[in-house]
Amino acid sequence: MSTNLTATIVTDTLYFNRGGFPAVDSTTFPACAWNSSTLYSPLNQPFQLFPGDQLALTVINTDTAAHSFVIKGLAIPSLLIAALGTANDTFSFATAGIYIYYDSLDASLYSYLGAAGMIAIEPKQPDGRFFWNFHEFSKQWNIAADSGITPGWNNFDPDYFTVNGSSYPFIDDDSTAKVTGATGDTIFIHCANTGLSVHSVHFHGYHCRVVFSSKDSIQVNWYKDSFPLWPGETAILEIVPDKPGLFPVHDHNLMAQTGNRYYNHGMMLIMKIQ
Amino acid sequence: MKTAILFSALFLLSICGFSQQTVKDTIIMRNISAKTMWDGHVMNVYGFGPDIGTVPVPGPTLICNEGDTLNIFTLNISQGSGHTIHPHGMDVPQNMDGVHETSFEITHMMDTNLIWVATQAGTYIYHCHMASVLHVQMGMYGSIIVRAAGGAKTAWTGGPAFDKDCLWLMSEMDSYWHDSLPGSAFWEDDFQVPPYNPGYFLINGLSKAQLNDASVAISAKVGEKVYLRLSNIGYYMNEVILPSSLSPVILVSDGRPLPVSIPGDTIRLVPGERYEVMLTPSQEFPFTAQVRYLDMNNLEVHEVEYVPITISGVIGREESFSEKRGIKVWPNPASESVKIDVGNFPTNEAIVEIRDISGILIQSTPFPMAATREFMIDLSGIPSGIYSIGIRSRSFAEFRKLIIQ
Repeated sequence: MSTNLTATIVTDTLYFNRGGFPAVDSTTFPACAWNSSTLYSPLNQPFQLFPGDQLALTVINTDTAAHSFVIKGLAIPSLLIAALGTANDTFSFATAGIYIYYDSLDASLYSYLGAAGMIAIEPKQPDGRFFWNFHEFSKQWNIAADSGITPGWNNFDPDYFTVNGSSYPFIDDDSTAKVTGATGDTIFIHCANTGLSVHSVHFHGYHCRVVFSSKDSIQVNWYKDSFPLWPGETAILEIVPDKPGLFPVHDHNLMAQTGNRYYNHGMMLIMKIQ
Repeated sequence: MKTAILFSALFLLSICGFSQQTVKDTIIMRNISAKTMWDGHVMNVYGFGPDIGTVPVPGPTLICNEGDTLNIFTLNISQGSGHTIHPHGMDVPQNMDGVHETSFEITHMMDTNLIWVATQAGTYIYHCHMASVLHVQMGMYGSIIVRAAGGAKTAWTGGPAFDKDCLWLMSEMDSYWHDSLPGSAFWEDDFQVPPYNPGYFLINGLSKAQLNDASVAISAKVGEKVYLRLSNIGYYMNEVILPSSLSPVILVSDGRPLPVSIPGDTIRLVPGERYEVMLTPSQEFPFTAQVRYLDMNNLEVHEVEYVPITISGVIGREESFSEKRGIKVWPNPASESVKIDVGNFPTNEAIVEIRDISGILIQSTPFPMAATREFMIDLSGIPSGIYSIGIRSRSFAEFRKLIIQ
């Protein structure tokens, strides 16, 4: 993960990879992602900067098809990366928020297949920060899309639900996702919905304060225990724990807590506050 | 000396401002019961009941005041199934959170007392958090209403006042889950559920014609402030569309006052979310609210339920508006025209009105001076839908529901 405490330009390299998505029930299906190395991982590399910083990115395409690199919310042309090619650009971020980066080619098909991550521009330095990239898959859709068949977008019925490419209990092994901290800490949770479904992010134990919402700015400074995260939208949620404990956070569409309809293998993780 | 006495008096007043008490309740957990739906279909359900013999879905609404302690005696009689009770949104400590992975499980024939402190007025939910995708669908949920301190009829302690409050708890039921799954199976994690295709869309456990029940339908008077508590325990998104003539204002979400209240007649709730809305009716009318149920994966609207909201008279006045004067409307449903018989309604300077379910005037026709008690109204140009048709004079108004096909 890239961080920036004092520098104004963050330099990094991102790789577009194809691979086999390792589902929670040990099946695999075709997927893709933006990773920090040439090795496919379902975890799209997150970035964190502050307002005024710049991200100097080299993007390397390990695929035999062309791909694009787009940052939603920035008024810039998309970066086109030829098959097995390389492109680079420097991106400036003036305001705080969460920006989704993704491949927009083929009606965002590759974004659906998993190639979408986030860039978090934090309004201030928190005591702790975590990244939640919500994404769901239909195994049959992934297989069809990888074969060149366009899915019927209106009939989306996913069977695997992930945060940062993992499902419960494996989400708890991801240190960028599992919220840890102490009472009184100011903790930022950077949320991006890179999938197609609406998710309801429900917190046990604490209410969160909405610091940023790309969909509804009117919700800033609302205190919520169940936050709606729409497809393509992002949010910064702040918790300041008032008590210690282990508390779940999960999608309250409880079908999204399943993997291939097995419970409890979907969008859930357990916060640990000391 | 006088200053010390004054400070002592003020201190005593401050600590005695609102007495906080322990509110006791009983919840019996069951996994063998039945619920009759609006069409007569009988579903197997799980649930929470106030006693051993009763298992309503939803479970009983728990009510207390801000600052109270809820002491819930719970007993599980479920033929081997474990259950929990999670107080959704109340931010209780881990040991009372009701999640079996992190706090506790109440096994068959075990009883315990759950102690929750209601720290903030608002609308909350309680539900089983054991195999929750199954147990919630099967009916193990209910509502918690925490009133303002002292039981004041205000949105929050010190907040805006209301005259009456109403609760709508939305959910869905898929009959295949209820009819095919064994009563005592799947009490552990790592089980597979069927695809979710609900066919029943509920408000307080009721739907369709059942929504005329007083537990859902709203009756109020002009000028009366109605506080509507909206809550979603289903797996679908709800879109609640209220008549704009009721001047709805959103005040609270998830038990927390909004920084700025929001006027708005359309409220979306994702699963687990709650909203509290102040209604201030300004005209008497038989309104209808819509509650839509949308699939979270593709936003397809699977069902729309309609809830009557009847506004009559004026607070403190004799209810002369509600006195039925026998108007009749036929045919109903109608298509190109409809007849209205005004009974003994005074027709001097009367107007026949057709309004949509939001109360918006669609068509008005002066009642002909020379007409008999019957009068034909042309409906051409009015789209199909649900409307109200009636007659209004200086002193009286009476309406009937009209379906135009």
